[in-house]
Amino acid sequence: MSLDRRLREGLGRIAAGIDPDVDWHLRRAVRGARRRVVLRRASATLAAAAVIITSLVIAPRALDALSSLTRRPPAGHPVPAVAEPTTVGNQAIAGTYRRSVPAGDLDVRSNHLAGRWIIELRPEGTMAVTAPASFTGVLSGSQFQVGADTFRTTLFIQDVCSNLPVPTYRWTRVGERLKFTPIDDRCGARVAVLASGPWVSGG
Amino acid sequence: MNLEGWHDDQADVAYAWLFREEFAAVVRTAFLILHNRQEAEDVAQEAFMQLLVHWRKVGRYERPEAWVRRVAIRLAARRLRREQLRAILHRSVDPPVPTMPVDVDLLRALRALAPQQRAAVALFYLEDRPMAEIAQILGCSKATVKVHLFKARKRLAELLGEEHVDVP
Repeated sequence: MSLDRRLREGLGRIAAGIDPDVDWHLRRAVRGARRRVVLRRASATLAAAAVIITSLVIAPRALDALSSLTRRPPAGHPVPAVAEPTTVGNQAIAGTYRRSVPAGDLDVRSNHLAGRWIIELRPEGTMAVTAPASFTGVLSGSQFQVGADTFRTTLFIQDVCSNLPVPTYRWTRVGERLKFTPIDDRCGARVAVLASGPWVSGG
Repeated sequence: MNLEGWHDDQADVAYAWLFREEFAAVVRTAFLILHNRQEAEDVAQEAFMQLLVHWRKVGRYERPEAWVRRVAIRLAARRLRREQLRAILHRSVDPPVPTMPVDVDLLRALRALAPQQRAAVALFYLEDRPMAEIAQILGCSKATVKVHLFKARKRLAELLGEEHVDVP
């Protein structure tokens, strides 16, 4: 007998001995499939409910966090208490100051910072900044906090100094002149604007 | 049959008809891969259950029976590999040979084949399906099916002491 014939006849005989109860299996398949569909629908409903709950509960918090990011430095960095400023400390240097930033520094040139700058330090801790026309970066929302002799600010934190820690400066005031000395600032552009020379008081 | 309102009547009838037409054949093919009747029935059951879950889509296919065979063979091959690994781990003996009067040597020889070769042999010799359809069911090319069958015949010929003549 050839192999092909043996295979056809042999497999046919083996298969003939297998005669499952088709109707019983059909009922079982229908029950199982139905259960599976019900479970799937229940899972989908639960997932949809979870999404709705998440959007109702977590989304407002996320939005709050997001909006606060525009007022704060990036996560992971020390955050000054700019939201609740110590108005007494801020009052010590509150006022309007101006200075001209020279163009010599590389950070100044590359960020178009050279020119006349005006900062208005308000007692509540906000900082209005007027930059030279050449600078087109983000200045709005800048805040500051004054300690006994320290000054921290979010100036440039959304722009040329993004992703860097909030800096700390030492401030000194002699007459009409306000001077900042960097204690800890890794942003050269900010150091150039704030601390490369004294600020002179006066509108 | 009543699918309890989640398919329309026509779909119910079509599914039940296909089930009655094909279920036993799928069990037999699965048996030739697994050599275990209970497991073959379980695999066929699972494949048909999946068919019903996807019936709205698969029911529109030209050959839904090819789809269900493909699923069953894939499940059987997966189960066989798992069983083979378990047998190696536990050094178990071969599964029992059916008590019916069959070609026991042939059945034993089939166990020496890889799952895809067993499936190709079952579809070609038992179900008498053309190469193109076997390729569709196994999810491979016709050339690959020919290779599976050639290797299977060669191995079976060695084990059964038969002459190996390639089939065109």
